[in-house]
Amino acid sequence: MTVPRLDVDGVSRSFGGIRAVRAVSFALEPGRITGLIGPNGAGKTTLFNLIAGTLKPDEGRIRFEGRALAGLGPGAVARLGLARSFQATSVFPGLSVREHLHRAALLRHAGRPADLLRWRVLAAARRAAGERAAELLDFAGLAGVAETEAAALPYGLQKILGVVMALAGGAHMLLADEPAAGLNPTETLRMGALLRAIHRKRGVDILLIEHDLRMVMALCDRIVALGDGAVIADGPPALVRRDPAFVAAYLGGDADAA
Amino acid sequence: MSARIRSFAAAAAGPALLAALVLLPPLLGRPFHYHLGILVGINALLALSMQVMLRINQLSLAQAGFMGLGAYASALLTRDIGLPFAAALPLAGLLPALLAGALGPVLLRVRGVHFVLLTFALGEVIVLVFVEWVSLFGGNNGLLDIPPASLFGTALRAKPAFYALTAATLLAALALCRWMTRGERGMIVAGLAGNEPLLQSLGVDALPHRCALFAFSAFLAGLAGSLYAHYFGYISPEAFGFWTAVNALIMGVLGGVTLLLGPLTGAVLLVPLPELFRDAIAYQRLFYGLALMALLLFLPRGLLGVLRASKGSTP
Repeated sequence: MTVPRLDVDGVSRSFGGIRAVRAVSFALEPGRITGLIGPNGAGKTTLFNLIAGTLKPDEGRIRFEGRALAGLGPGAVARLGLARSFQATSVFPGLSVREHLHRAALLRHAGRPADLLRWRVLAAARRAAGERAAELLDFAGLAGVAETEAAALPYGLQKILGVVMALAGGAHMLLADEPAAGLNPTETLRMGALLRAIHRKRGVDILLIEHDLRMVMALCDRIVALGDGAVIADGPPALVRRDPAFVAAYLGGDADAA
Repeated sequence: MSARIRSFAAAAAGPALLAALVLLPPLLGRPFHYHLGILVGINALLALSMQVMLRINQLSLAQAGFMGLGAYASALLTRDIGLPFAAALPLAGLLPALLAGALGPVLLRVRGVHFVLLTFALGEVIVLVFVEWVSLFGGNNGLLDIPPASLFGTALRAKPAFYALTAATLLAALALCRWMTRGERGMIVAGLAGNEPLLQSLGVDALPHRCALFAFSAFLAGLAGSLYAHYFGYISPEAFGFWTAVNALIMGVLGGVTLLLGPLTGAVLLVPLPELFRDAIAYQRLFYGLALMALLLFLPRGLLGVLRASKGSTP
């Protein structure tokens, strides 16, 4: 059996008295796009923060490509090749789109203070980052706005930039937190096409949190549904959308809405 | 063509201002001017150390305590152990840097007002140790008979010589700070200030970098302390308390928080004031307070920030 790309095993996390994530387990095989869905407050973003190292689980283990993530902070997790993009658009003030991609490709080589003294490594990384930024600009269709300040981009392009930045460091897996939230139908289609291209052309697995069920159903090979912090359904999209527990929790009993 | 001249002027403005300020005491030439220049340099170093932390949006009030640590270390290492000043000066920077590096992982987990209060407490604890550990630090009486700075076997007793040492140290510190805000280091500093979650998602360990910057800031403060100790030949705990930190903060904010020469500009403006208006001591604090309020209200980006904006070099 192959080593799962991501193995979440019995993970729980509470905030005060609220159990935000309860004994969640799933293992993701390599080569998949997986949807993580559930109503607001189901624990999706908390689970992302646990996987990405921003939060520590109270219980359970998370493994990425067979490697335990316990004790690793968000920077170290990202350096392993497990990248994330954010729900809200997230950019550095005052920097152009190209500078964002350049930094995104470069900074993993300066992750720890001691790395700043390895000037030979940094010099090579600097050259590579310039090429990578140019290549990603073309890949994501952002070449026309390369020199525009990222904060001045339309919302949809900012979200695309956020997703592409997450890839710039050479990730094998992307945690995408609601990439289509706030986008109009045209922008949503473009985002869906980008995610598919990221998966097919760059071989990056994706774990996708998304409320746009049409996008989830179209993109994903598998869906994990959360309700009240626990897994309530898990399987191929066609099965999950008919699962009674999922229908009750997510759609309020109306199976046809999916 | 005029655009090129303007960009050249913008690039040359910083070095020209720096050169003018550094050369001012020798041009004026009186011992009093050298004395002011030395005080400005020491205060600018402390304000610069505070600016390092302000660049990552963390106000540390422990910098005066770090300066004290450098001062006492330098004094004891030269006076009691007989170390040459040339060795004591870097050690006076390294000691507070080690303390900051050790405490950083705890202190830097907190942000905002809590960090300010924690560093305020740390500064007070450092001063308290100087006061209470009488056998080592001399208590409230402080330390006397600190030997003068010396380099290559020559004692820098004369004010011009000590001024040259102070100016050289400040220039080296400015060069280090400039290096710190360039390249990947600058990207990390900007990212820590502007969007830490995004920076972390790109593979950067935020806390260790914050700790490194905290240690660097303490290093600069320690250098200021060493110069202070060997210039006056006498130190006591009260020189390194809360008000010293606040004054350094005011200098930094007045000159411009994000500009390399901001702390020096602030020190040039504020340090001579009490020395020049000794007669008007009763009104001095009133004037000082009113001037400060006016500056902060009307020039929130500092004096240098206004000058830069008016030339149109930066928005």
